[in-house]
Amino acid sequence: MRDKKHSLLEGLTRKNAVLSEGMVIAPIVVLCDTLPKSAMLSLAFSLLTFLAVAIGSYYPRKLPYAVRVILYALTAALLYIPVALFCEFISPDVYASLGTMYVPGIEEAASAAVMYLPLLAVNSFIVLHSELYFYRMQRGPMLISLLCHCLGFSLTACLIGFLREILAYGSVAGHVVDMPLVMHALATPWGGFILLGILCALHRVLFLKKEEA
Amino acid sequence: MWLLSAIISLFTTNLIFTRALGTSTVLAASRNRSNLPVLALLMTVFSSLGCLLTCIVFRLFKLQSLVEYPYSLGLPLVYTVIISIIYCLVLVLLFFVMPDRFSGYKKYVHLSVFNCAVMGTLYLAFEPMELLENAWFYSDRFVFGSVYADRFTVAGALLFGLQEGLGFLLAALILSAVRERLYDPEVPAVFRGFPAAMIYIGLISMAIYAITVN
Repeated sequence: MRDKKHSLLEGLTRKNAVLSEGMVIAPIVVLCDTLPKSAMLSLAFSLLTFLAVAIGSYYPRKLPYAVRVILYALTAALLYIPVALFCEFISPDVYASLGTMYVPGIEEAASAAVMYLPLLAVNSFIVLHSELYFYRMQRGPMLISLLCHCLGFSLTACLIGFLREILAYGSVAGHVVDMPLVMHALATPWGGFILLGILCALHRVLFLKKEEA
Repeated sequence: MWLLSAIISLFTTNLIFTRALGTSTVLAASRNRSNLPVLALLMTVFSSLGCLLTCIVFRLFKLQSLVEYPYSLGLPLVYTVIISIIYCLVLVLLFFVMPDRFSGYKKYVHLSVFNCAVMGTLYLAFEPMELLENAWFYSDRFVFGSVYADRFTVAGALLFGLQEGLGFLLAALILSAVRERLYDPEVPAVFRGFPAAMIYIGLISMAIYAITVN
């Protein structure tokens, strides 16, 4: 019983979607350069993924795999519209900032990253992991596990956003912090890749057994 | 000269190294070198046909305004429908042309259809015009300068899709070339595999940014 409960919570820790499974990397690397942007991305991802996977679990298993996958993607694409409107309603400024990315030389490249939020509609949780993992469970435990995976993604996104903002811009959620040195490079996509690699290694140290690592 | 800049742009506008799109798919593709050509070919087919079909649909039904906000909220739905049509066509074609290999190849079709690389290519191909003026890559403007004048041309869309698909192949080749070293027992256990691959992609991305950013 205890093992079962533990395995449902693995999405938060040991089987973290980003740090352990290497899923949904693009939005993390490009968008999560500040804490508010990361929080907004987490909200959009969690709402979209939770609802799409939960609704997808009601589609008949008799349908061919290709048809089911198309239905999952179409469901997520439909859900994206209210989710995006909701995110914009909560904080229009932060929502608008999700379209920008940091590029050395021109600082904020306006609207260069507008596609990353809509791309969540085809994230691997919805079109791949749902079939391979979530839909093999009963609905109750599946929803708990899904929630833990979404929370795991959100915590990782916020941690990366926090670290990148404080190290690259010397601020936390827009409030300037007295940092002796800032490294703007960490706000770039390649800075995101390198930081993600380091955090993956730390995650292994913390959560995986020695022999597995 | 045009060909040379087209080859350079495979690096400088590479989806994976400059936009991080399709990173998890490319990591999966580089796992097995025998998988690589099939997966890369399918990604190229999906991105090229996706751009082509989207261009035709946009022109036929005069939907160019869809790329502007707030209509752009419906773009994922339009792109998903277009990719789904190509997905079904490819599966049917594979079933009738290569019935004995269908079961072996269909897993690659499933893997290469709905991902950030294919969908991202469609987004990049049909960005609103004002965004293109902000394009920060020299080569982006240089190679596709004439196409950018009207991105909704069939040739422009097909060329763009083809370029992004070939860029994916290039990234997968670069990764598969060092894959054994990234998994070498001499690499510290905590960095072995995925973390090392992330740092490696980051370093290549950094090198590409260094030569392309204005």
